[in-house]
Amino acid sequence: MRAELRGSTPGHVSVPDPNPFDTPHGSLSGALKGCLGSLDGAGIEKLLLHCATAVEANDATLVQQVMWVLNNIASSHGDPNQRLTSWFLRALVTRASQFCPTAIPSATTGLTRARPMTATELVGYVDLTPWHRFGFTAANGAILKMVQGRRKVHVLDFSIYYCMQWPTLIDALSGRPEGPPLLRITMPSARPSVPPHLNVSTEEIGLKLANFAKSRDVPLEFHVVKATWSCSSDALNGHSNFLQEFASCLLDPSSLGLREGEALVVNCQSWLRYLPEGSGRATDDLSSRDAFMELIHRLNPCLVTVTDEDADLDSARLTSRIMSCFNYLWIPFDALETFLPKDSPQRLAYEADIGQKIENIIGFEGEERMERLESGARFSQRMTRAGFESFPFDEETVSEVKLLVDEHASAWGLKREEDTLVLTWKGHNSVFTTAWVPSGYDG
Amino acid sequence: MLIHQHQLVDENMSNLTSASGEASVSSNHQSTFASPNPNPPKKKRNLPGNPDPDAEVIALSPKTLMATNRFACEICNKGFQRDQNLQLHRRGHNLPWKLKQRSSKEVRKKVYVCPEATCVHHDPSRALGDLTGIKKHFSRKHGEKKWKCDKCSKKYAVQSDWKAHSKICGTREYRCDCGTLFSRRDSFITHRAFCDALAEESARAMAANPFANHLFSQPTASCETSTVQVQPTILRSQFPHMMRANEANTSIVSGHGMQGELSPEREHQPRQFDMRSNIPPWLTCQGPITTSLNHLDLPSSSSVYSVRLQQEYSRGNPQVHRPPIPPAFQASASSPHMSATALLQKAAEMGATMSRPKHLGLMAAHATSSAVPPNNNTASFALGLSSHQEMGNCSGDGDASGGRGGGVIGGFGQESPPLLLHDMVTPSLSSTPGFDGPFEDAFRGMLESKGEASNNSMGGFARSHGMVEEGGGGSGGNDGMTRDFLGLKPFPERDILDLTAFDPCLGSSSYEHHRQSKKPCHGQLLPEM
Repeated sequence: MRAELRGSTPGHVSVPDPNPFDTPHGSLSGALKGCLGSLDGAGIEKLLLHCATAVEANDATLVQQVMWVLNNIASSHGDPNQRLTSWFLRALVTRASQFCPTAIPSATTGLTRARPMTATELVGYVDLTPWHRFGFTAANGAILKMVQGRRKVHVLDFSIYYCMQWPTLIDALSGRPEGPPLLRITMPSARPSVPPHLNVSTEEIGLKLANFAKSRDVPLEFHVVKATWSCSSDALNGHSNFLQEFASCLLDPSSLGLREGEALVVNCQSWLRYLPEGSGRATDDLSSRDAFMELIHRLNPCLVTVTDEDADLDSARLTSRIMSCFNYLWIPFDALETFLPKDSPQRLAYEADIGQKIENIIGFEGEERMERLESGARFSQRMTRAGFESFPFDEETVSEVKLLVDEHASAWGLKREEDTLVLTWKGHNSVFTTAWVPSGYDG
Repeated sequence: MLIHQHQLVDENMSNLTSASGEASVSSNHQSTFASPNPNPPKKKRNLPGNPDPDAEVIALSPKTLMATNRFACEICNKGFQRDQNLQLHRRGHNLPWKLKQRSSKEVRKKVYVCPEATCVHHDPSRALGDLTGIKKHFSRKHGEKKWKCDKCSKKYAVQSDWKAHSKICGTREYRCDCGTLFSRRDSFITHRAFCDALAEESARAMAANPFANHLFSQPTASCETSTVQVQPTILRSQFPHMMRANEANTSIVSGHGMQGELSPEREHQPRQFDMRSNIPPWLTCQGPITTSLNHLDLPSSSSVYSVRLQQEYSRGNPQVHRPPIPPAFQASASSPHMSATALLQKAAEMGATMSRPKHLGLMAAHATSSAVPPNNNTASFALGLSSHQEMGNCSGDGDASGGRGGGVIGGFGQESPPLLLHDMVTPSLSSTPGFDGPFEDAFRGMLESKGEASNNSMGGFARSHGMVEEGGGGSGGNDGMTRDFLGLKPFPERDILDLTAFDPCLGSSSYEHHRQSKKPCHGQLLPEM
């Protein structure tokens, strides 16, 4: 069933006010306006699919025609449907322009990065909706439970959110009846080139975190694992650079600085989607999803938390990706619509970040397509294959997550699917969060 | 699946225990027509959102879903949603009570659909797994919000939602030393960890008393010294959105409206990180950070911070002062910009003497790189167009030529080749005030990157090209050819309508089939999509 956006007129795209100088005229104009005005999400989706198919079929004329129509619907300041359409159209344009020779800089270099945020801005960003904190809260709850009684805790943090998750964990650890443990947080220096972007280095974030931990009497060591391989910045191969750097961070597990007797926790937040499927031979490519999990397994962590968005956006077929993206990414657009005005800069910035994701998923193939999200169900199967067992969230954690969700708009909901917690918007799955222990874990 | 319409209270429903409001999916293999299964049915995991196909689908009416407390105690009139609960309550009055026994045969799993036809949960394949869930869903989504919070403006359709909110509304407010308020503790804690005010204070406290272990105590402790006063005002105005948003709280976004008051205070720019050299050893933690500290570019972050005060939270090139878009960009009949409606108008004029839409020139103005030769035959879009002769005509554009964009798409237009694609590819995402009309947004990115092209590799040409500044006269070099927006002849009405018509058998394969069955016709839309 298609997801349909509710705009100001339910199910319809709002067509702007007519030009005041308009004179009533040919039936075409009226008919066309009428057409566009009655387009709902399903109709737009069809147009997008038309366009994509035309691009794939090399039919320039058709591409132009459909883009023309889409362009008349799209508006970055319109209702959620229109906004979404504008980003999809950009993505399709990017894709179409891939056929151009190298005279035209590739979209990745031409892409204007959003102005990087300050740390406090990033805090606001991740708290705009429960989207991000949902995973933070659940994962932290599982970690707290698992490290009860442990004097030393070491977290390997694989996340694109620059440690936004940790202040609350630090705070919770400081309140432990048995007193806080020695906490170590280790991150790789490599990070995929995706929003949100911060204007300070990871080290500085670590510094602030350490400062904060000190204020809570929690001893904290923060460590960034440097890549042993790095290239001169070559934006055209941005993502494969990241992968190589990332792999080089993991190449030598001793560089992770693991120590005896510490409770090792691996935290993956919106991370695994950036690792490719791999060639199938896990030992081959360290940066592939399965190889990564295998490596993690070998480290014998006491807990692995995995949070990501709950959708399959990695189909090999473009048309499938368009459908699944459109039927998934309307969720954040719809959510923002409910509480931020049309011209809110925060909202526009947030939507632009999603737009960048859309552009990557729709506009690119091969190595350049870094976003390869798979849904919770599939990730869970992967984890099971990698030798992990699911670890249920305890009731206290679930209540905390529920409280978080309840404090936001009422359309946000919490769903439990066995050991997985799912954040829902109007009943639709948006984010899943899970916890795992290696099978036969030797605590 | 069997579908039952229940108009009245169904006693069977009261036997169901509903765990939580969330849908849970489990399955059993029992089916009236299934072959007997000697083994006990194993719980099969379904994919989320897909209920067990063997489940019984129940469609309750809105009235039923909204009904509460159908069972009332005759003594004290207390209402209950379930008969079982009422019976248990009756025990307390020493009244005779009886509990229905669960039927001995296996109870068939029931799932519920939403009565609202347009709702996603109306489809049996998206039914929800428990009664409470569908009731809450219906209330929340389709119900009227009768419950209103006293303290704030939030409204709720489901009473338990309202209760949950009221418990916390206004009861907990956390204030950071920087002045920002939070209604949720986790946001507050996270903010505090990264807030500059904290770092400042901690460093000052340490400098003042190097032996102190304890920097800050509780969130509510106000250690504000006079030197910190300056910051709170700035930050508070800057981050009004931090105050937990009620839905549609318009005051949140007026942040930029307050920026006026920020200017005078900018002078008091907090000397944020000049303590860098004085960082006490303990702050440097262990190992790697020590060395990296020297490389921290702290001042730059403060400069960004100060810049931030001046600007809205906007994206785009990192320039401090972006000139406002000249009024020429306002949508008006004589501007180079054309509203979508006017576009449609143009498309409708099937005549040959349609003046070239101005915006096309704007779009075409972007150069991709100045190195690209005007002859775009070889460079043309691999979508299969041969070069258009018109392209040649345009190279004589009166303005500074700069580099002509490469043939992005052959058919795009006379002047320069279609930088439409490219412009769209370079997202200058800033929200520019002064832009009217929703469709103008689609071109906003292009225009802005023209407007301040200094950092934009593609913009330089556009500026010199003068499409924008000229504001009129169509793009120089308009040879009077009648092309519409995308360089197409206006297409017949029917085709446009067909294009936007719903195609029930859309699918890549069926589409291919359609396509292959027709001769490819350039410039004409196939009658069937």
